[in-house]
Amino acid sequence: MASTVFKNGQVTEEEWVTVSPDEPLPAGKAIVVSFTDFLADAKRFLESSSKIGVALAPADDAKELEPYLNGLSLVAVDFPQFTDGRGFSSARVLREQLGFEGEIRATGAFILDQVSMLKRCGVDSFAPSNEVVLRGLLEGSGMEVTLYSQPSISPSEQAVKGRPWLRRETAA
Amino acid sequence: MYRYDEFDQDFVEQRVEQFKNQVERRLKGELSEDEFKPLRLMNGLYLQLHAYMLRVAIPYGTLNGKQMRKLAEIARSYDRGYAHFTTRQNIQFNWPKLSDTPKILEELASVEMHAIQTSGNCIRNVTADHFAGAAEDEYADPRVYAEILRQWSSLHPEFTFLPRKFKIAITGADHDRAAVQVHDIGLQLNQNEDGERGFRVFVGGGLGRTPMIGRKLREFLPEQDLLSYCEAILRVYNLHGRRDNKYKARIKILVHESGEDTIRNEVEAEFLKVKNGFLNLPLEEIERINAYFAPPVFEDLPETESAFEAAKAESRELANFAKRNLNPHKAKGYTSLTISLKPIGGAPGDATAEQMEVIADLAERFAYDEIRVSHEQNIVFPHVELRDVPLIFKILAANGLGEANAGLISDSIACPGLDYCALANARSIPVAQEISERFASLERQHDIGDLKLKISGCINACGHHHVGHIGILGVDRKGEELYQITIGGSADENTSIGKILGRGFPADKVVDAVETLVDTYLDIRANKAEAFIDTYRRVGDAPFKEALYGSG
Repeated sequence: MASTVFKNGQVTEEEWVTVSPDEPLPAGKAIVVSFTDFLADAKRFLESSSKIGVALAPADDAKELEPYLNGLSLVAVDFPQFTDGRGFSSARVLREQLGFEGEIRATGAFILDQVSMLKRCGVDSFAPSNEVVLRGLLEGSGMEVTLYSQPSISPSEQAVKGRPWLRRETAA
Repeated sequence: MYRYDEFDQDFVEQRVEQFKNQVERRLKGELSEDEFKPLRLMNGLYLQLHAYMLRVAIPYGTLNGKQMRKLAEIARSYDRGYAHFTTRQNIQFNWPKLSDTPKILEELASVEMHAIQTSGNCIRNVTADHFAGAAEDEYADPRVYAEILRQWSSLHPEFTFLPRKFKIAITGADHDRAAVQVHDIGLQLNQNEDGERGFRVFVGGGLGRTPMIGRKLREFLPEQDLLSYCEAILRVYNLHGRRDNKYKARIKILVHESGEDTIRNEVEAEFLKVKNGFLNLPLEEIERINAYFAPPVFEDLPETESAFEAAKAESRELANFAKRNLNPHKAKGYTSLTISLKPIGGAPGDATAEQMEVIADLAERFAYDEIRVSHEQNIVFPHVELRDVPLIFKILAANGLGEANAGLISDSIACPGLDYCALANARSIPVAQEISERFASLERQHDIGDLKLKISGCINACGHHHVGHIGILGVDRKGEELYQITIGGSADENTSIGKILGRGFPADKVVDAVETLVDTYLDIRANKAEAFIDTYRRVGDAPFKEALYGSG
């Protein structure tokens, strides 16, 4: 599947191959596989010469990926509806508790107003299903808020002097 | 009280700016109502039966005279000259125009106020004991921790799209004045054997369609772990709370369905991972915030004030007011004074702009410029000198604010009901008004004594009827408003859910039914000191049931 992805301030097209479990794995590509399929045969995917990404649905428990994270390039956290906020927790668990250093991508129906929150939960690329959101990302709209009243692991934030939990966005 | 520094002010102003853009996009048609909905909800703007309703946050119910005056000004300029104080210690404006709302938010920001997180599926305004910082029985001022929780939870990146709304309450003493056991998280300050400060933690309490009493997850949580433990609870809830049915989405259902032990194990396991991370509460920060809540410097006053005693002896009205509307204060010669927003025949919790200005003036003159909104929808001056009470009472009474009914049957809680609310099945305010008129005689009310009457206009239970000593629930039966009566509920440290006594009553019979219950109590109470709820607990519901429905 071709994904239009917003990453590092720009839009790129990425080619991710979706495979079903009984197909042979293509070599030297980027492969995205569902959480369930991946866990059913993790070894096979990790031995492939392709980059491997796992697509995480809201109900999937990110902690089960722990033994395999070193071999993953991408975890795509899906938002079938913007009101389902489980992906925010999954992203933080991946980054903060499991120490995942690869790319965490938000996919699906999230809205523009959630982007800064997603970043603060450790998400670093965005593949929205709604073009309006993509346009907004490019234009940098909806980014009026640059001050936060709780810490996060986002690398583009600075602590505020004398206030241990406050953060100021520096990249905006 | 807490004061904004430059950061807090900028933080709120950015939000106003953001919302202004969103409203403009909505008015231009660039945003549909569906797309606008989550954005306006984040700023406290509801679409109600007749109009938009704007709910403004009053963190843990604390505000000063300047802020109260601003709220009065908004009521006068942008609304119909009055406003409604809520059971979450907030204030609601019922008739603002959408195009005015950014201006209103700007006005609010100018006095360090906002409407953030007063709606939506996020962590709502944290509530606290309205006598905090003044009550003689508290371990510490719970507002310090409420403020820490407020900052932590404001626009939380992970917990703003929860399965459902999330309410936290905190109380400072063994006697619970913040109804913590009917909250998603209830915190009760306490001390361990070494004299260290911490919290008793309840999870999964709530009212609504499925009332539940919170389960105690911890007898003692050290204070430095407050945010880490809350984060652990919220993460377990965010990941595992039900999202398939909004009526089963509160954490109480998760706790109920999973079982107390499972939830405790999950929370504790999550807590171990979060603990000692960046949420560990540094003592310096607790002290920094504590300094904002430092009590005023109290004078060394005599325990009893002879002029006040003399005034009470002369004026029966004042004596009644003193008997009901004053709460013991930690400093000698001081008191906490309750201003009832429940005048006989009035709408519970409503205040006019003029009344709000009177309250602001009095607070500045006599009450160290401190005002509280109680979850029982009254106003409290936490620090007042006993010798000033007669004059304060005189001014209050002259402005329709002198009702000496705190904690009595006419001091009822009622939701807005069918007169305002899009969810309601039945009217609540008119029922509250009729009951208070029926029991208008103050002498009779004082004889009846402590009695908490709570009225909800639908099963969402915003009027907290489940925890009323007498609760009234309005339902719709084939187009007719019918009122179900419950009895024996309570929301203090002995929290209980009221029991339904039998079939409901039509609107014109419900007041008679309440009177029958009260008369039954008066007949069977052991003595005058035995309150309604204690009599109920002693004898059970049988005599009350029989009085209402006969012995058949």
